Amino acid sequence: MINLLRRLGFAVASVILVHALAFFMLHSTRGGPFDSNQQFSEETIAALELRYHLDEPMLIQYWNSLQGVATLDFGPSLQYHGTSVQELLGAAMPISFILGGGALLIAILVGLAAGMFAATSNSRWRVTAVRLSGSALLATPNFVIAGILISVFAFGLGLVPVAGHRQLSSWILPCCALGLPLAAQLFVLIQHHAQQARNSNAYRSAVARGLSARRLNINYILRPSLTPVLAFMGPAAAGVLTGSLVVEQIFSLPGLGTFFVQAALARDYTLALGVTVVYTAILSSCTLVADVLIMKFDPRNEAIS
Amino acid sequence: MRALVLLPLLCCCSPQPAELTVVNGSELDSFDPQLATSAGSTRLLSAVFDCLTAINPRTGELRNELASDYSSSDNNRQWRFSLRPDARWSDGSKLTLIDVRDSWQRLQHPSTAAPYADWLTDATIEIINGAVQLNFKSPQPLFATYCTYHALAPIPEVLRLATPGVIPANMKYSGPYKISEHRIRDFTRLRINSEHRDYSSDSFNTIDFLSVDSQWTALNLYLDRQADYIPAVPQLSVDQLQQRHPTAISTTPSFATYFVRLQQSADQQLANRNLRMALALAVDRRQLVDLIGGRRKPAHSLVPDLLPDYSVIAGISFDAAAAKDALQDAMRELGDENITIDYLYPASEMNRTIAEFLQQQWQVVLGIKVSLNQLESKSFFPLQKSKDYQSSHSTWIGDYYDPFTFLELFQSEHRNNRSSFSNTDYDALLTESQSCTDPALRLTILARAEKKLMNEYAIIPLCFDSNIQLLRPNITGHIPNKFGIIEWQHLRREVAHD
Repeated sequence: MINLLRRLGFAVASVILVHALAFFMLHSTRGGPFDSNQQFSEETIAALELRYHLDEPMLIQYWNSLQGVATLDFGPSLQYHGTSVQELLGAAMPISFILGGGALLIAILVGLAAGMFAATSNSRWRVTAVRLSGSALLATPNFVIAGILISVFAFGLGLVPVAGHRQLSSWILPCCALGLPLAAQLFVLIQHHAQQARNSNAYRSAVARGLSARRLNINYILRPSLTPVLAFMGPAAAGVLTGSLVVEQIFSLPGLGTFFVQAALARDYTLALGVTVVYTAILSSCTLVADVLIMKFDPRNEAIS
Repeated sequence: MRALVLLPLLCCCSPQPAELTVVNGSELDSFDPQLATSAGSTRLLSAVFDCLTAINPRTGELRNELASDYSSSDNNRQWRFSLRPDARWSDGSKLTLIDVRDSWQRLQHPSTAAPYADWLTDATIEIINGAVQLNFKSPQPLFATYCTYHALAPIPEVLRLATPGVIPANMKYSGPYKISEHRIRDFTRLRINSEHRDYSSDSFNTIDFLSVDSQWTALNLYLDRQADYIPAVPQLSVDQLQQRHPTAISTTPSFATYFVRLQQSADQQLANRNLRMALALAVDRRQLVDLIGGRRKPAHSLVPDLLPDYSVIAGISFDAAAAKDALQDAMRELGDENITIDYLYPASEMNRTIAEFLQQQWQVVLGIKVSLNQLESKSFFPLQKSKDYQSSHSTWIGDYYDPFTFLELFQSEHRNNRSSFSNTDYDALLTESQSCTDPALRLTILARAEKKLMNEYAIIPLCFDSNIQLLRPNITGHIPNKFGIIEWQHLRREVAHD
């Protein structure tokens, strides 16, 4: 319990530290939110700065921003007039969570199944085929995967819509495009550790005891392989759950991923800080959950930590 | 788990597609007509707000929209607008002169922070004898043209009283459509305004404006029949689309010019006219437009060839021999044999292509070494505005259909003059055009000013921009025009055609 509380404390400290770094880096970058080809008059710029409190001293702005983080009120967006950062994040997060959740599900199912198959199968050519597919997926960027999926399943076979999110079926392709590269990473990881587990003394003695193949696979191969997988999945899940710029743009999904780049480029300080804080919080939570799960699966880790 | 619960919920809550679907680019910067500046905002706001005047898409001439009449006097210092009696808001209430006056006063007010507040800076606005009367301190010959832009459209009291940028729940509209639903970065649904004078039950009842960042995704949506109109297609797809969808694709010139700004402050090498001339004459614009594609046209001057009464002047053309001679003269005058040029440009695929083309041209034709400096746009503009560059990329889109929107950029004291160009004759011509009451003579004066700008090689014009769009062939009622005007209420779907 103390361990858990300590980790929670670390998570809160990380959020504060990342927020401070992001705040000062953003504000020290050349160019401001109202710089564009059309140069506004000095009066207009002054009025905008007054409206968004950008005329106040930097430390006051930082303090206000930090208070905003504490109350989850990040303020108004500087690029979308009349829209608050909470509204933008509130609209984007469900989209990213669905996309990320679907991608995670695909990654776990495909990666786990392929990894276990490659580690336990005796058919050499089948294992080679699975490994080659895994390597190919690992080496293929997700925008290429997205393009292939669209060509085949949307335009070729006409099974699913090409983009959008108004139908249930329109989620299949983006979830696959985001989930398959992650599945390939999981496959490599599981296969490696499952192979190690298969070569362990514990496995050999279990085989000698005549345990069923199912019990062997679950208790002596899958279970020991899960610890590194969980350690990997914590940060990976945070990355997937906060969306992907490329996949969201290709499939026209208004998720969080686009904000990471767009807000920084537009010098939308409040939005950029909002997504940074949300990402850090999700990353900390996912890592924490992964740690808890690891301790549950392998209590030795608790003693070590 | 939350994702699994959200998914069906999100899909169930998504409405059925509208009768017409438009892909409108990225999310709008604002729904407040006085604050919006993006092309997507202009497109959507043109459907929901009527302006006092409008451009006739057939002729390009100015016509009345909400105004029943307008006039100017006192050498274009005084303007009077009266309203048509059937002007109404979407809730049926009367659109009054008070709405016009108060909207313009809100635009003027510094707390609104409106980008186009300048248009009314020194004006007094009153209602006198059944008309809104504006008195400017200086002549404003283009005020009726400004009124075609949504920034000067009358807005309802609920919006005037709200925080600038925030759209109240009980919003009213004056255009043929009204906004019925908006989902952030997803879509905006318009519904027909039955109180509008052009209302017809044959018009589309609903129109969806989708927020889509990528042009390729927009094209996919069109090809998948999820969208009917996309205002910009990816350049790489143009040739194939021309072959496969010849009746859907169309090109319209855009009121925008690509050019190079040359820093001419006294301490800069480019203060030398011969050096500017050498650089300008060494650019083969035909080759450039072939390279960047998009059906752009070579530009030999600044103002695009779009206006009915304004002929494009014969400006700067490619002439390698003359460029070399000019460079020799420049080197002699500057006493420098090793001239180098720095070229600054904002990051984008096309801007890089243009930069590399200019580098190659100046190097091959003139033997000048050119260094390229790319910056992301928010860093680029402050540097360009502080005049901390030697030569730099520039694009200008006209705010209204008149040469003045381009030519004013090079007045000595203009805040968008970022190249230190200063010429008393040029300034005098522009001032003279402002007080000229004869429209034809005014355009002649502006043409003389543009000629002067080109003779001074103050800029290097590169190309005129164009829009390539896709409109489903079974959509009828659209008048193809050079001004990007779409009269949404006149569009129909021909079912048999599909």
